[in-house]
Amino acid sequence: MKHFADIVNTHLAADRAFAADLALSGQLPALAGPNSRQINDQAYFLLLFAQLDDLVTGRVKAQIEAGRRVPEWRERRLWDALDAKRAVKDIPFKVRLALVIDQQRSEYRDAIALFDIRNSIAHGSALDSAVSINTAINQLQAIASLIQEVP
Amino acid sequence: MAYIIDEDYSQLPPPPTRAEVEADLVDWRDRVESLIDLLASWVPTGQGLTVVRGHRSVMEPRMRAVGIEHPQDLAILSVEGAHDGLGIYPDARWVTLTRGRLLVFHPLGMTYIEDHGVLGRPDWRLYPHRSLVHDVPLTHAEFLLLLEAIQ
Repeated sequence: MKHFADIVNTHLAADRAFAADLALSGQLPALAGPNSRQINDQAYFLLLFAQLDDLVTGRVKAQIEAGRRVPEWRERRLWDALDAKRAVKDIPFKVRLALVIDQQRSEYRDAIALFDIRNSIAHGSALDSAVSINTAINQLQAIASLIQEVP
Repeated sequence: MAYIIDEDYSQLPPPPTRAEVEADLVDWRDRVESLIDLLASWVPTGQGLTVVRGHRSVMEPRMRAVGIEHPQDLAILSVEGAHDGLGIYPDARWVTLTRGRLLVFHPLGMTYIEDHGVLGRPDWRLYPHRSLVHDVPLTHAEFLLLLEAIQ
């Protein structure tokens, strides 16, 4: 998640600017629009989630490459069975996630919940609610830590 | 940056009905009122702090989306000290990953109180100024820390 901290810090700065406007006037300036904070949160959520997606993709790619190098066919066969011409990013996210996190872990369930939110935002059906970016940051960091622990 | 195949787009939940939103608003109003009551009771007496209770009209995008045209009046709390004050205002019921959020305007900067609980069991969390992205339980001791800066 190489750009994660930059995105977090930029969101913090933007959120503080919205907060300053709120504190001064009790409402956002007319130019920003009534849903501006919600839209701001959602835009940053997508950026933060993309960092997790990138991490998962990178880990899966490394796993597949390592798996295909194993001399013993019995260990190699499942990795060989994956279509070598298919880009890793084209493997459905939930499948990629299951390759790097135990599905019994709470972090797996959190990641799926975040993925559902990501889909909801990306398809324009959730523009009427803000996102707790701080909660998302905590969950994404916990998920990323778990992925990075797995050799 | 990687991107995601939306294999689960069809599984998004349906939008809430007006009746569901109205029921949620009643529950939100009651939770905010109880929290403001609790916080007001935690303000120590005899230390030059003045408690001011009031109400704020809040209109959320999700209310408009189901045809609700009138804003909701929600409890607010201000605490005035010798040098400064703090204000706690309901922000929004619909903040993804939470069951509602309040804004805390404070001399050290704005922060949030969020409900991370479940229906019937609120779990109020504060993002303290010492670490704005890591929440802690909103306890009496944490609230007194907030008050220290205005005394």
